[in-house]
Formats: sequence, C-alpha cells, structure tokens
Amino acid sequence: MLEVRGLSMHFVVRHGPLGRFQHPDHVIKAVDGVSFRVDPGGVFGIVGESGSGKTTLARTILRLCRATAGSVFYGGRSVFDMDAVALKQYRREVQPVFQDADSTLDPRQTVASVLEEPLLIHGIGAAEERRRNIEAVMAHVNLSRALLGRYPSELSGGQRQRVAMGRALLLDPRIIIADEPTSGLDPLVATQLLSLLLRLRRERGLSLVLISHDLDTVAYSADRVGVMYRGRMVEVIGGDSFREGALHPYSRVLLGLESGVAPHVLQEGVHEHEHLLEVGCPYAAYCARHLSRCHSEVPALREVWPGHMVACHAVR
Amino acid sequence: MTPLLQVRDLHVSFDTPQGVVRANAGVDLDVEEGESVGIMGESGCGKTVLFLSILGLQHPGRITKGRIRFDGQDLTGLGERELCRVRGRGIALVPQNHATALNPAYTVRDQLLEAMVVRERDGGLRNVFLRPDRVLQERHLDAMRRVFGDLGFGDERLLERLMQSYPHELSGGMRQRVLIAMALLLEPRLLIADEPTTALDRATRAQSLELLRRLNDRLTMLVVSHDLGAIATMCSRVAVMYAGRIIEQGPSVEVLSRPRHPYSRALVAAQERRRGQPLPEVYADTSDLINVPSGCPFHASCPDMAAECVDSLPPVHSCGPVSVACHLYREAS
Amino acid sequence: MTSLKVLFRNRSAIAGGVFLLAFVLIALLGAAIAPHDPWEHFQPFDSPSEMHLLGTNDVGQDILSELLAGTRISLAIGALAALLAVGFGVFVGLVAGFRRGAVDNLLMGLTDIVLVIPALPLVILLAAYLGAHMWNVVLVIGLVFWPSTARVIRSQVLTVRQSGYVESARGLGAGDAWIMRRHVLPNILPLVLSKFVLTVAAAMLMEASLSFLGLGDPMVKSWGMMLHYAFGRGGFIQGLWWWYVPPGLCIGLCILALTLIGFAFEGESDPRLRRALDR
Repeated sequence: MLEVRGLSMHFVVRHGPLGRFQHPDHVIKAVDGVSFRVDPGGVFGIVGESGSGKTTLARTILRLCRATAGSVFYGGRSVFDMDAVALKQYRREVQPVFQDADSTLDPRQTVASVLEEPLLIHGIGAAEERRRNIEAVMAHVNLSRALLGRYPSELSGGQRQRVAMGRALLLDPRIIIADEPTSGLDPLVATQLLSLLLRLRRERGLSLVLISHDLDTVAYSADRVGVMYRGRMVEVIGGDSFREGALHPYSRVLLGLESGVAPHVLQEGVHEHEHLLEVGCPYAAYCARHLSRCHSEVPALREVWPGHMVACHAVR
Repeated sequence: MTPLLQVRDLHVSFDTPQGVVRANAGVDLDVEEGESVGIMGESGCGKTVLFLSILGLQHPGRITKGRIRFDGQDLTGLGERELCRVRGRGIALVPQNHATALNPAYTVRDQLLEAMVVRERDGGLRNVFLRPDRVLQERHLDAMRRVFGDLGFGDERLLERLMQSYPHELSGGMRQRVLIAMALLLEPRLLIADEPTTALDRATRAQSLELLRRLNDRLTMLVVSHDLGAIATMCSRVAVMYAGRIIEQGPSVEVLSRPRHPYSRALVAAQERRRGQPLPEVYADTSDLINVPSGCPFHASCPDMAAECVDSLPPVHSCGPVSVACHLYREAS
Repeated sequence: MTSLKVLFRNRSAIAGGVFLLAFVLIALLGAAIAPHDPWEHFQPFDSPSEMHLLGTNDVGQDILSELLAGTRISLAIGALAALLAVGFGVFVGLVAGFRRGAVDNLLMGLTDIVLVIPALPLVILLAAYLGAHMWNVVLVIGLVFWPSTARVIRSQVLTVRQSGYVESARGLGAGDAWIMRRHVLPNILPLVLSKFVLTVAAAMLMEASLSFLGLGDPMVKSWGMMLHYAFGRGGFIQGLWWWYVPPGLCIGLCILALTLIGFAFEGESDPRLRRALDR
C-alpha cells in the first residue's frame, strides 16, 4: 500500500566564512537510503532514538519536507510526482498524528474549529453534516462534547492529543502516520491513548505507521518493526520476533539483549564532529562485533531469514 | 530515631482566576536517614508542589496548614535567609529540565564552582562580584574530580574537555550528570531528584538509573517521578500521590508488585505491555483540584466505588507493611 | 474576543481605558460641551475666571474651549496616522513574511533604511517640504512609523508559518491562501491591535512635537498647536500656566492611557501560557 524506496534526505551544514577553517561544510544525512513497505491493515513500527531520523522520515513521506533522493509510492503512484489535485487526495488518505499536540493545534482556534478545518479544506458536507461528523469523532476519541468550545490551552496533554487524533480521523484516512504520539504524556494517559489508537485502527481497518523511541510500545503494537540508526534502517523484523530475535548489534543493545555501548551518550558527550563517521557502517565505531570491513563499507539491508532483514556485515 | 525529613498534614494552595487550587491537601511523609523514598503520581497530583514546599520554593503557592521538619528544624516558619542556608547544604535539588537548569553563558567548571562557593560563603550579596578565576583553588578542582570519578567519569582528559564545555555542547545525559555533580558538591543531607529519567532517551536512562542507585548508598534521597521502572530501581519505599494526597505508601517491592489502591493498580497496570494481551482498561480524565469532589477524590473514576466513597474521605488504613487511603481496606486495620 | 477579556483583567489597563474613554467622549461631543466657540474672540490674556475657566489666549480665545476642541483634532490625527502606519506595516510584514526570498530581502532592506533614519528630523524635513497642512502631517507621521510594525508582523508571520499547527494544516491538504486566512491572520491580530494602540500614542506625541515646532497646520487647533502658541506668544514668559499646562497634561494623560492599554494587549499576544501546576 505504501512503499518507500531508497529514501534519502540530506542537508548540508554550512559554516560561515570564519568557521570554515575549523569546521568544513559537512553533510548531515538525516535519512539515508531507507526502504520499507506498509501492508494494508498492518502496523509498521519504527524504533529509534532521538536523532535517528525517524521524524524526518515521517515528514518526508508526508511531503512536508523535500527528499534528496529516493521515492515513495502510495497505491502504486509516486508521491513526489503528484500534482496538486492528487496531492490533496493523498493528504486526505494519509494522515499524520504528531508528537506534542501543544504545537499541532492552533492556540487561537477552539476545538470545534480545529476539527472543522479538515472538513472545510476538502469541502466535505454542509454545516449540519460537519457538526454531526465532529460530534461523532469526539465520541470516538472519548472526549466530552463540552470540550468543543474550549481552547487547546485549556485542555490537558492527553486531551489535546486526542483532539489531534480525532482531526486525523475525520477525513477517513487509509493510513495514519503517528510520530511519537504518546511521548511527553504520563504513563497512564499514554496507555490510554495507545489503546485508543490501536482500537480505532482495528475498527476502521487502517494501516498504521507507529514511530516511537519507546521499545515497549512498538514491540507490543507492531506487526513489523523497523529499527533506525543515524538515518539508516538497520533492521526490519516481524513484531512477534522482535523482542527476542533481533539480530543487528544496535537493536540488541537497545533491547537489552546484549550489553553494549549506548551510542548516544558518547556521541555528543563532549563536542565531537561527525565527519569522522562518514565512511562505512554508522554504528561501527561503537559496535562490539565490528570487523575491519565495517569501517569502509556501508552494509546493505539484506534478507537473512524470510521477512527478516538486517544491515550488518557481522550477521550471516 | 527521628526521621531526617518529616512532613505533617501539609496543605498548599494556589490562588488562580478560576479559583483556589488545593495542590497538597494533607500530606504526611517521613524520610529516614539513608533511605531512598519515591513519590509517584501523574501530572497534577501535587508531587512537584510537595518537594518545592520542602525547599520553600512553593511561591506563589501558600502553605496554609501543616509542618515540615528537617533535621529537627521546623522549615515552615523560616524566613528566606534561613531557608537559603538549608537549601543546598541541607537539601539539594537535581532539577528535571537539564536543558534549562544550566546557565548557557557559563562553562561547566564555573557553574560547579559557583555551587561550591555558595556553599562555602553563604550566597549573600557581598559575593555577587566574585570572579570565578580568582576564587578557584586546587581543592575545588579536587572535589570536582572526586565527584565525577564517583559518577563514572574518571578520565582526566575527558573531564578537562567537559569542564571547559558550555551546557549547549553537551547531550542531555551529560547535562544531567553535571546537575547531579552540582548537587553532590554541596554535600547535602538530603537529595531531591525531580523526574530524573523523564527527559532522557532510553539508553541514557539506564545509565542514570544506575548512577542514582549507587548514590543512594551514601545519600538520603527523595525521588519524584511517574516512571515506575525508575522508582522500582532507585527507591526502597514509595508513596503514590493523587489529587494532592498520598493514597498509598509502603516498601516499593510491595506497592509496585501488589498495589492496593485502585488508582495505584491502574498506574502499575498501565505500564505493562504484553504482546497479544489487550491493554489494561483505563479510566478517562484527571482530577479537578479546584472543585474538589466530596469524599474520595478518586471516586468518580474508581472501578470499585461504593456508596461511602462519595461521602467520606477515606482515612489511612494499614494493610501489612503498606498504608492505603481507601475504604476498601477498612477491615485490614 | 479574548483580547478584550485580557483588558478587563489588567488593572492599569482599566485605568487607561477609563481615561481614554473620557477623551474619546470629549472628542465626540466636542463643541456641544464647550462653554464657548473656540474661535470666538474675547479679552486676550485673561486669567482664569468664572466665564473663562482657563482664561484666554493671546487673541482672546477661550482656552478651555480650545482644549476640548483640540481633543478631537489630536486624537484624530493620531489615529489616522497610526492607521496609515500600521496598515502599511502589516501589509509589508505579511508579504515579506509569507513570500520570503528576494521579495522579503527587498522589503526588509527598505524597512531597515526607514527605521534607521531618526524619526523626528525626518518628520520635520518632510513636513517643512510638503507644507503645513493637516493631511500632510498625517501622511508624514504615517510614513515614519510603519517600519517597526512591519518588522514585528513579519517576525510573527515567520513564527506562525513554521509552527506545528500550520504544518498540520498542510498535512491536511491546506493551501497557502487557506493558511494565511485561517492561521496567520488570527495569530497576528493581537499583535496588530497592540501595535496600533501604541502607534496612536507615538503619533500623537509626534504630532504635538511637530505642531510645537510650528510645522503643524495653523488652521487646526490641536493640543500641540496650543502649546506652540502658548510658548511662542509669551505665555511661558509671562507665567500663564493655565495656557500651557492643560494641553501638556492632556497630551501626557492621553498617551499614558494609550500606552497602558497597548501594553496590556502586548502582554496577551506573548505566548506566556503559565499554568502553575501543570507539568
């Protein structure tokens, strides 16, 4: 249904004329050659720490930022080549739910107005019908109708996030891309939201791309899991096998299956420059199982078992 | 032995345009020397106001009732000057937001030095014009090295780089370490850690937890968090707060494995994710601290609500090693 | 509207509001409440008496009547100039913020040039060149005050454009025009309001300065013109405080009132969502 092929999003960090002596311009590969498929009705989980590129990936798929290479196919059509009309339809069928509903809701619009917006943009229904749709969606996300007249600042974090979810559902999408939908929320509220999201998905037969740094959430919810590190998809594995059967060294460290260097701390611990790590596998510098090959050759994502892909030289 | 920290019937209120918010409505808490106590609860339960009140930083909130005793001294009646003496040397805080808790204009070394200077010299007005380089002495550097060594950062070269860095050049985990070091340099009797793991990603979280657990061997700690796993690792005792009250308290092993109060049960159950099992059913919305409902504040969302829950506030009942504020456990005591 | 609600909560703004309301009423009622026709000639240089509560000026006109009539003039000039300045400034800010690129650079360059030139000398030059007529005064003041509004509006437009909710709107399929209308405009409105009020205050002060220096329209009796004559025709030297103090006081009070209100609006447009207990 949704296919991503070799997607890359690189941007160049330029330093001013004086800085150039110390820090040469370098390229940040936010997303580097990512490929995966989302099947109809499936949940594809993407796991990665902050800085792994997962948010940029989501935004690029939604065409909210421009890719430097690669393509995204939706229903067989190339998303990046779509004209305005097709794009509008694409946007109707592929809806985002972002992290931090604080910034995804206009502080000057009431909840009712926020929910009405997608319907107005796509010219769906007359005033009466819109009102009914809005009330229905509020019920679906367990929000009282009394909240319709409130402003986002008057709602709790969990409530705001539910409004965001409701807004995504109003257009009756086929795919929802949820980027950290529960981060920043209390555990109880987060569970509630996750439970809601998964229930709605089941009820409507949606596909879901669930992006999170919370392993437990992804391990619980996903049919297939993709692990991202530094812009690359290093492993793609079935949801059932993820917890015990991950093979990539980084995945195993994340899951606690192996003790290893938690790359994040040392990475920025003291100001380091990334140009040192440009060649070869991005995880090589911290990998317990690194071979000499890892420092010069970028491993490709290969199928090691049916349905299980790993990008690592050390895995057979 | 008298507990190091004793909070008795604490009531703290805030005046807002919408009404009076009763952030703490009768909190009783003891922390013995050498213990590590966790305060668990969600946003709005009052845990933040609790520790801020202990530090005397609850403004614009007002302590309307109750007492806070630290090391035998009554803190509630103290003026600002005396409170300054207690803060830092008596009770130190490791703030939650590592991004904003450090001054971006000063290096790590200067900020750590500031902590030590304040401790030595009493942070008064006459110290405002002290210049860090003039005041820095070998003993200060020694202390910093020692503290970082304890935190697992022994390498001399790395430490030197760290000292000269500015906060924005460091990762979140590193900044938190600096904040912990700052607190340790003050050599406090009690360390309060505010949400020590919430702002960190998974990898750093594990390291921080380990660090704090080791610190507990030498320090009395009060950990405020909504992260169950963190509390389980770091604290020997835990108090669960809801709507400004402690509704369950006891050894963490007990409370977290067999929660009694319906709210604690929901809280603990919510953090489990077992594949193939449906997620635990959870109630809807948070408590209202302005129009506090009669009786038990949780009754509207409680799956085990009975008639008396609407009318009367449940007193604290003992249930083995655990104390619970719930009518369900009346028989146990 | 939420902006009005904010006004009522702020005590100094209420005080300001009361004063401003008084001035506006006087401006509207004008001649109806004045004891005499401000152009009628009586005994010149008369001290305050029962018939002339504030005495008369050098050509025998009742000062109190002048003062009351001047309210309308001063407020009108201030408001019109501010309207011109803010209107143009908002337009420039919107275009620059929305278009970005070369257009933005060009407009901001222009804005910066005008911003850098000291206001009063520029105004004096232009007024002297164009001639002392009320509409010229309005025009000239308007020309001087638009840049600061333009900059502020542009800033806000940029902020809104990059915000999460605009991105969400795009994700929903919204186009530029939709976003402009539904998200950008409401979010710059409070800013426009506060800027407008503060610009009226600044414009009034500028007009008073111009008139005082003799570059205002002599046929029009603003408070500034009264001051001009008071100082120019011997009122100050002779110690006729009832001539020069009232207009000065009025200018001061009116500007103060506007400033207080403007600050209250400004405070609200700042995204300070402090919720003491919420985490």
